[in-house]
Amino acid sequence: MNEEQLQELLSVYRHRRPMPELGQRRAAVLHWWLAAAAVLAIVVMAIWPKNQANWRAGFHVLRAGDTITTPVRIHSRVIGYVDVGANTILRYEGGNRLSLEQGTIHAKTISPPGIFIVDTPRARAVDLGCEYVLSISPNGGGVLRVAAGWVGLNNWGQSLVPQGAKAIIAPDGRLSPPLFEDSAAAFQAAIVRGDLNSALPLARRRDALTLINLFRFATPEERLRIYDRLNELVPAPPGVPRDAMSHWTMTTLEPWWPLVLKASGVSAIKKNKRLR
Amino acid sequence: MSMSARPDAELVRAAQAGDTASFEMLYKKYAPVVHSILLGRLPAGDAEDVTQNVFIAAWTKLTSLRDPAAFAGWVARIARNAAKDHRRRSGDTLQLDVEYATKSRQAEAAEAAHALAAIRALPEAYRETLMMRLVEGMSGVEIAERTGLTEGSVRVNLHRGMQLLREALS
Repeated sequence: MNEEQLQELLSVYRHRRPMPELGQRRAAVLHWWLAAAAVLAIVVMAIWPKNQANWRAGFHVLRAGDTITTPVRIHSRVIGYVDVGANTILRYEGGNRLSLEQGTIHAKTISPPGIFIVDTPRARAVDLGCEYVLSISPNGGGVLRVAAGWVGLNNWGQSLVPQGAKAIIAPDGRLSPPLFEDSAAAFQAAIVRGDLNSALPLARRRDALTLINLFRFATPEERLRIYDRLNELVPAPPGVPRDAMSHWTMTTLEPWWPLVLKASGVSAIKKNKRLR
Repeated sequence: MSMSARPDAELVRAAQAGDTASFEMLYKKYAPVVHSILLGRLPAGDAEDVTQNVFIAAWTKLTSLRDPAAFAGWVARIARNAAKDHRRRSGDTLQLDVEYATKSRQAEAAEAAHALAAIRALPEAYRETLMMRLVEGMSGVEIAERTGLTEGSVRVNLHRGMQLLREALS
């Protein structure tokens, strides 16, 4: 991708807001009662519980830095609950963040997407309104399985995993594309080891979501092969011709995505979606 | 992206005297810089909000700026401190960059978030310069003028930053 293409891609983040409303300038000298109120506010803030998410294990309120190593359910009225499995090391980082060093957690959330975060040694799982199970091995690798909604798995790469799918975290941090649980074991294994020759013939129509995620990691020659197989499973719309693969960017595939999501039986991520 | 020919010092003095039009010219000139600094440290949605807060704070404190010509460095410092404060206070409200970017399209959003994450992983000098270039679309001259760096330093930062970014994205 050249500089112009990157500029175009990243322009979605460009600052476009007008100047905010400007209030009155602060007076140079505070009145004595304002100073007293400020002191009172500082005292209140110092003694007020900082745990806004208010995570609890039974009646015990978790504090930032607490580590959980025994099977237990922790819950928060604003986030939902997390079941901590056996042989698990889970640390509460404060707010809506947990760190899973190793072991397994099962999370079910009621909070809006993007709020609840679980860090692992190699990746970060961001809840997008969902239920999922995350397992991490002592070597940092692991697997994320999504039972409802979507979960974003991020590090220097990213895998957006929908309901019914999983993503593999390799011990070196590489993230697999989303893989449907009901896809062939041989297909999953081939995708994880990057073996297109074996994977492509085994892909079903539902696995289109996995295939469309492969383009950005592929060479130009591999893109043509992925295109051909994906086109057999979910015919490409007129705006995505085969020869576009030679000057491919992620935007090239945009018209194909809705068809792929539909074929894979998943709905797009909904902003501010709530479960239950 | 041509801006007012009025020097910063003149705009700052007028704004210190209460002229909001002059402050708005400073805003138009430096909001992309402040936003770039914040976007390198905060999720995209938060960076937008904190940019607004930085300029509200700058307006409120502007009379304390003794050297009106030093506005660029001063507002950049406010931005870096605001990012630290924001991370400390609201580490639990991270908004996914990809979700923010889905204001465009899902496929493009994933790619944009991927590229943004790769820029964030770069050393600070490259990160901020590349944000200004790739996100805000500023030229090398504009970046130099608004950061106090020499044009040569900006060129070097952009060149090395792009090299590292390409390696990260390849």
